[in-house]
Amino acid sequence: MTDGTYFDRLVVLLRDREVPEDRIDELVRELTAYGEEAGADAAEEFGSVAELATQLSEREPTVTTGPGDGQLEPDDAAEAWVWTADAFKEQRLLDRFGGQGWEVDRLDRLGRFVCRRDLGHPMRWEYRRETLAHSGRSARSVQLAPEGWEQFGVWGPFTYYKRPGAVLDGPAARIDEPPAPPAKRVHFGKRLYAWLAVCVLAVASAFWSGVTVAGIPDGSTLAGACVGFAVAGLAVWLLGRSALRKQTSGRR
Amino acid sequence: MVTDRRASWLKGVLDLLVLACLTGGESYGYEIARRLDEAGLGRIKGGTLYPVLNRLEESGLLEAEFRATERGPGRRYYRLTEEGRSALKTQGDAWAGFHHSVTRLLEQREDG
Repeated sequence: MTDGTYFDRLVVLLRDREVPEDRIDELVRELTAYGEEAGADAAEEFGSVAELATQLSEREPTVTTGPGDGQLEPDDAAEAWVWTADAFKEQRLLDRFGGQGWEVDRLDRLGRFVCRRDLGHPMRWEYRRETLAHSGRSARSVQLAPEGWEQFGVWGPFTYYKRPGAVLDGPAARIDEPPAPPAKRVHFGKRLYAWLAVCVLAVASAFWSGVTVAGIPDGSTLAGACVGFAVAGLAVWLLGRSALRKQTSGRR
Repeated sequence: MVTDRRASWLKGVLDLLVLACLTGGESYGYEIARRLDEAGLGRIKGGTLYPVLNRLEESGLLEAEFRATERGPGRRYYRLTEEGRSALKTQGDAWAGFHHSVTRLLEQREDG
């Protein structure tokens, strides 16, 4: 590739990455001048044009970090995937997807598992879920840490931990040919629906018992009771969501 | 936005630091991470540390042995090989040289 072709290609790639035109002009002028001064072929001096375009179009010039304390994150080259499951199925699925190299980074506000998988050297991950009270969580995390377990999320009574398979298996935990990300992202099983049905029936029967004990009310009283139930349900849901947000935002 | 460069610096030297953590004898993953943290380098996540340990083991700079414990499934203990000690010496010297060059240039800038 001649230098002219190299820089033409660079311009196209930078435009594709929505770099402003004046910035592209400036960059190409500067790189051309540098190449001329160095007396080297552009491809030799600057490497792959695609990689150069990627680097030049990054918003931040250096590696980004975690929460600003210099904490080192795993390698940046990773694919992402988000999934969710009910409490009855999630442990089995965590094991399965962990075996495919998916590391759960965190739980999002909807309680979904936000995962990443290293593109270069994917490895197996192991998971465990513990039912813990808030007061006992820190002590349990400290107890599990020497075995490599790291807390990544809390959902209701459940605290979730992960660790790399390499803690026990070393390089054997590496996955040579990881399967493609699963197409299915939502895993709700029959047990969840059965459990929900039981809950609905319990609430309905409690409501009906209350109605019959108090005598059959007129239509307006019944409608008022229904509205009351709906408002109470909404309030519980909002409170629950608010508590959940506190828990998930605190982990980032 | 202030970009924290410490992570990128650490990325370039983490393998060397892991080797350095093992000069006093064998250790296991969590203990190595804890020593790095105590040294002021921040908490290294398992997803970062273990790929490094794997690479060092596969390249023969570390050797590892799995040992069962009375409680729990056991731990994988790492120790330096002779090759690892030699690499630590060579790369440690190289890092010291690099550090010296950087420091000298930064001090020159401050003087100016």
